[in-house]
Amino acid sequence: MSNTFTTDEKLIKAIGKSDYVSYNKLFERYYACLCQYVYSLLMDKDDAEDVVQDLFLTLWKNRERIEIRENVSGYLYRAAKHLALNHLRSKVHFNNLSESQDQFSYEDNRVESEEFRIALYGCIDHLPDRCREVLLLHRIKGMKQKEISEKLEISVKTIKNQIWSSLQKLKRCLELKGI
Amino acid sequence: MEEQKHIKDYIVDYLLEEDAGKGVDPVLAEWLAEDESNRKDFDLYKKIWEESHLYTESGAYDSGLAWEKVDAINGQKKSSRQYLRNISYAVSGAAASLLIILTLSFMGVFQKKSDVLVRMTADYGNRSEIVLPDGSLVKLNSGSEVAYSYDPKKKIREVAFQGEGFFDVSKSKEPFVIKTAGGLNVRVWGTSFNLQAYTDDSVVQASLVEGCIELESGKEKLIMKPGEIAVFDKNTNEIKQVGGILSHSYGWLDNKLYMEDMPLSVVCKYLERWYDVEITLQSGLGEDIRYNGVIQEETVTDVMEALSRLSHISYHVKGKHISITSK
Repeated sequence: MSNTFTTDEKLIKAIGKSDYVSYNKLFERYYACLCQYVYSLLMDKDDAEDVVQDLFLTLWKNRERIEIRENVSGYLYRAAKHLALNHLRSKVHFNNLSESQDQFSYEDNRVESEEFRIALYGCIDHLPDRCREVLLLHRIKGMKQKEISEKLEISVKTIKNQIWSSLQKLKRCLELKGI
Repeated sequence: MEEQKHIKDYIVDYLLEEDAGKGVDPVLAEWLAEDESNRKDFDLYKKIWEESHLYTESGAYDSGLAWEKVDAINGQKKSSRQYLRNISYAVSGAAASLLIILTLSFMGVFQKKSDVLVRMTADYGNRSEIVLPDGSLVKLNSGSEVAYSYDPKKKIREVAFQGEGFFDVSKSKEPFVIKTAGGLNVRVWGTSFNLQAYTDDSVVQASLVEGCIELESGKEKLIMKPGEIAVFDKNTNEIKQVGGILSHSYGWLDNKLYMEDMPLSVVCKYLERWYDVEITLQSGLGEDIRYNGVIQEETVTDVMEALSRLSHISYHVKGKHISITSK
């Protein structure tokens, strides 16, 4: 860690005193990770960005009156979750109600896995590019091994090796984060 | 080494082919049964595999662009805030001292807790909204304060509260308890409701929209069902259910004041809080004049204009001060 690193807690304190530079720092620090997290709840990139921007706007609006003494990142993620659920609720009202209830009980059950997920996303960000690419083509794009092998011009054996090495790296990374 | 390599292939194959509905290979199953730590590692790989499904690269979010947007909106707000601040400088000393008295009288409730996590106030003339660390949402009406704390030992979410607020409490096994002045505690199970508990009012009123809450003061207890309204009398310590239209009690969320046979003195109390003004009433007038209906006006002068049309009163505005006399 460099010497110039300012803790979240210090940033929040400065924000409380209307320090716009600290506000910008906190924004830079959390914007993308909060978006990643909210995306996993809403599955829509634009909505995720709207929700996170909203969160930061509210934070600035209320800066003088808000006081956070617990861990700041925990607070941000929880607030983001709440806003995301509200967003979902307002959206779902246009569809039918029983569907919305299903969705909510589903959301409620996932609470414990969130810390894991947030940590995991940070770890995937830091994988070597090739490892990440293989993992994502399979997990997110839903491509078969053969398709990946053709696209990246590597053998199926290499793909498997890449996946194994990703798993090892992610496991170590998660352990370092205390998960 | 040889065997280790072997197992790794089995694990990767399992993950890659899982969607095809293929079961666990006997070799893998044997390895899993061998050692607890094997099983643990395997479960972790599986979890990583499943959870990575909803990952998006952080690079996909342009925080620079987003900052420009947020910065632009904040810029607009800053100027309007500046404007508001200039106005509030003009607030008379009397109003300021009123606020201080209100704050002091509440020190008792608010300073006891040293482990307060989040605190939020809405001054007279302002409203605000806060998301508590547990995800609950509170909309605060003017002249209100909320302080949230969490006791990890007792696993209780505790809120010291005064004023009026609309609570949307998130569901959790951990109890959520609101403490108000006058000794009334409200126990909450994931729900939404309006709570009016101003220090200078003699009653506390709760209106339950959904879920379940319990009002408790000493031995007095009342469990409320959705749609019910209940009041707690600070003087007699009595809790009882009352009639009324539920949605009227949180009309303030839409800037509406519903009046059902409401004396002028009570109307004025609302206006003082909502608009941060001071109203002086000609003696005897406060209880004699009563209103029915709803007002929804932008400014306090509009409200006064509406009231003077409804009844025989005239009003005079001087800065933050309004005096009302009979016509």
